[in-house]
Amino acid sequence: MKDALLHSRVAVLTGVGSGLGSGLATAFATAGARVALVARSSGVSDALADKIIAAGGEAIVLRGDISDDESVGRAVASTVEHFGGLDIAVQIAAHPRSSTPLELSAITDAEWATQGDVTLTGCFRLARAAYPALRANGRGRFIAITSAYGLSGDGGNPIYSAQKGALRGFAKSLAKEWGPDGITVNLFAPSSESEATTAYFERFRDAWEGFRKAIPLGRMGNPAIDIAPAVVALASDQFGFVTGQTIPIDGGFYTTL
Amino acid sequence: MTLHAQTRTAVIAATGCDLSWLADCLRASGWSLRLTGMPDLADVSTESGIDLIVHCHLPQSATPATTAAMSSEAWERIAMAPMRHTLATLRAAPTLLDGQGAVVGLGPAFALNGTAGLAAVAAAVEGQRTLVKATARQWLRGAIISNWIAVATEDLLPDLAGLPNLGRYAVGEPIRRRPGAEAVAALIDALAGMAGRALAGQTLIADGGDWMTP
Repeated sequence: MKDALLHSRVAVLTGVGSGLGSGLATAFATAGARVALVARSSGVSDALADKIIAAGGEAIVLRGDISDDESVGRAVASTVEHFGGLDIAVQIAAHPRSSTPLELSAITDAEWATQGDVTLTGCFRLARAAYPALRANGRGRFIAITSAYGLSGDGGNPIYSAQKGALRGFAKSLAKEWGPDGITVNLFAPSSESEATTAYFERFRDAWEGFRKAIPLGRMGNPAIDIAPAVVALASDQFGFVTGQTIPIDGGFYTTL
Repeated sequence: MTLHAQTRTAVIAATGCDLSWLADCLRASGWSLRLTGMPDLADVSTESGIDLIVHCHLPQSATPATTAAMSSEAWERIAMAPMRHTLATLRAAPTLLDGQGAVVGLGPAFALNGTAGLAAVAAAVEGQRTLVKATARQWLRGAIISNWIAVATEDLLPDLAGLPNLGRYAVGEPIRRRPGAEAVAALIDALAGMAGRALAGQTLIADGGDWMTP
């Protein structure tokens, strides 16, 4: 469908092994994008690609580790080689322990480095690798996931909050750096159902009750239904004049700005 | 909660920047100072009691650079190391303060809005600022108050003074009432006293009215 929002655009997405990543990849493909799915292991991503292709979309699976410079570079290069270019890069990958509560005093340098290497430096790696191809088409989109906790500084896991906040500083400056090349840089901050949030709230039931009441719409967002369409729009021409922003997609949870 | 109002001893922990301009003014306003370049404050004695810790950790070089040309080593040095230093300072703070007192972080204001060529520095600063918020939340249970002051970028990174778009766009010459060192010191003094008890994890933008909190 030529009138699809992302018709024939090429998108590379990291972290597609998560529920949100899977939902985004499916939504991008449904919107007409040709998608490269980057994941550390097969299985989920292979099944996801099969599903997209069965539905009439185009998808390839690339083994890639966001914590490895060369691996990220290869994933982007393979995407460009396979599809003939790159229009959209989406960083979703996050460290699996990002939802684990931590006292500040218990944070080791090693844990800080490990989580930061995925969540923050991983975003830098993807941006650096994707830039030449995004610049080439004059309408590039760079999108990364952050969190309301990167805005409000949640005390549960200070590493997570800090890295998500750091992403905001990175994205704002990157938007100004890449604006002359026609590339937009935006973040989205979802309140999304995920394996991690489900596990967290199953462990801390009181936290869920409190959190649920803080969301005007009274629930976490479904990745495919509530979150992905907004990110698709962000990647499309509809949001072509929006850059350097953090877009909360959270049912109204964070409204301080 | 009782702050150590009588002793008024402060630690200034700084890396990648020179805070001597601020130290002079804090001394003039009655603070006894310990200066350290060790992020974990390991060389600071607690014998006389510490009431305030001021921290500012920036990259050793904040020269503008494009993200595409940035090496992983440079990213580690510019974006990650300053955040790690702030983590070390905040981890050490409760022991040094003996459970009560004030912690004030300083960072350049440009990071609130972003500047081309400074993405890695901005990541470091915004990461530090958010870490201060997260820490302040954990410390709400106790008697340590942690806040952040965004100061005019030139005060912390003078080499960037001529960089275009470092501040807010204005027609003609920007009108700013840029605070001097005395004013910033007075703000820190206030955060370490009764006024600070009303705040936690806040960002005060002391840049002379350039950027204003949305």
